[in-house]
Amino acid sequence: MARVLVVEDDPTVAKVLEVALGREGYLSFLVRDYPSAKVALQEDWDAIILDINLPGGSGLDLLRYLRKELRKSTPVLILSGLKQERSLAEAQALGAQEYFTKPFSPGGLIKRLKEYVAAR
Amino acid sequence: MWRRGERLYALLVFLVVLLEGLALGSLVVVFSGRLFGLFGYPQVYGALWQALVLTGTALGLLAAYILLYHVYSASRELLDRKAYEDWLARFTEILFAGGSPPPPPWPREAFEALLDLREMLKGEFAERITEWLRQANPPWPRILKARLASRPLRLEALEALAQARLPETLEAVLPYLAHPDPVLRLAAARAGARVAQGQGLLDLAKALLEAALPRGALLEVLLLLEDRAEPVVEYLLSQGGGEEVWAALEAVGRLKLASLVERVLPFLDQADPELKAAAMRALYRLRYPPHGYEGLLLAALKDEREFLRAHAARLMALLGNDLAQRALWKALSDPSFYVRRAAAEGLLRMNKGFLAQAAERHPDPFGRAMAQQVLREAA
Repeated sequence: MARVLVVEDDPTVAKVLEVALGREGYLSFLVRDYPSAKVALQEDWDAIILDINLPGGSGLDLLRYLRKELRKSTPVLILSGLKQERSLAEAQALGAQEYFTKPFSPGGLIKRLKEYVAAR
Repeated sequence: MWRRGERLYALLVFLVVLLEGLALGSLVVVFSGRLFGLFGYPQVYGALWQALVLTGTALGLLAAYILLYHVYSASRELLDRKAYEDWLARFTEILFAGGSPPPPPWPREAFEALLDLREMLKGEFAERITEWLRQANPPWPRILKARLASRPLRLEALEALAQARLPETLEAVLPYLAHPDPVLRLAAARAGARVAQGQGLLDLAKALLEAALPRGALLEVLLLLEDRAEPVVEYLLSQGGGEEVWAALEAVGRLKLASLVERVLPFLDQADPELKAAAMRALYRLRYPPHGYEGLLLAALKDEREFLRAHAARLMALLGNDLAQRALWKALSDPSFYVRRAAAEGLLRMNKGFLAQAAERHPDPFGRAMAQQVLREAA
């Protein structure tokens, strides 16, 4: 069973992702803030869904940490309320596979996630 | 968050003040009577004790209320949170399973959960939530139409309608754009921007003209319209006063409303420098070269106001021709750092070799330094 780390502080989005991932047969693990996410990144995941604005830090810093320091190529799908081109460009430069903005369509996100997990 | 009981607290404070007033009044009477020999010492002593006991009781009541309020609030908040999470889980499961929601009436927490889901989801799920909300016949339009509803209740209703995005509720929202309370007007404008669709967009535009919102607030409302903004922005550009036109011009650039570019161009000839600058910003954000308006841009490059010269330099670069190149070369000797910077960045975009020449041969040492700095940064 594929394991997906969900880094999200919004309880509504977290619940939607938990249900959506569960129905597709993924095992999801939720962390709600930057420090817990940094610890969780030490483990190996099949994919990561990452918010940018988190209590205690930025999701982009977590992505930088994952790619530059932990040197992991785990697929990362950004799910953020930020719509600025700068955030999108920075996420892409840091190696995020996808950038979804809120409000989002769970179907579209899960479809892309499946493709990345299958490609690993 | 659970925040009720303010009225009870106010009543209690009033009661305490009243009791204290009575106690102090009786003391004044008793002491005055004693002064004129009407009361003996035992009566004064007794009155003093009574006042003391009354004060102690009143303060005790108040302290007990505050303590109980905190204890009750904490437990009530936990219960509310639990109810919210249960409804959120229930609705989410039903959304994905494809069933129907439980029949209304629903409690407040159910509506909150559904509104939060509506706010976060789009596509098919969002449509289904909108339909569920419609079927539940939510109380918010009725609250807005009620004569005796309180201001907080009206604000809550406007916010809920904004989240629910039910187009048919626009008619309940629009009258609030003419409300004397500016907070309610702004909340209504935000709600209207989320709710309006189709013909409702024009109704919203007309109501926005009457609302006389500050231009920053108006801009926020236009940005909330996102991909539905065009008819509203177009209406404000043609019918609005200075504030509305400024907000509309800003919105054209930020929302990238390229279809309105022809409506923006005439504002390059505006006497109002703020509107002229807003038009230049809009065109720059659209990356639209304003061919045919070169004379106006050259005049703006010589304007005494720095912000106009800086915007003109940025926009001039989009023309990409010899005229622009010469004008930007000249602008490199502008006394303003920002204008020189805009000119150098424009030249870099147009012709890097030409900027390299400026870095070596420009007669103004500050212009040369700026050209060198921009080239260094580009490398």
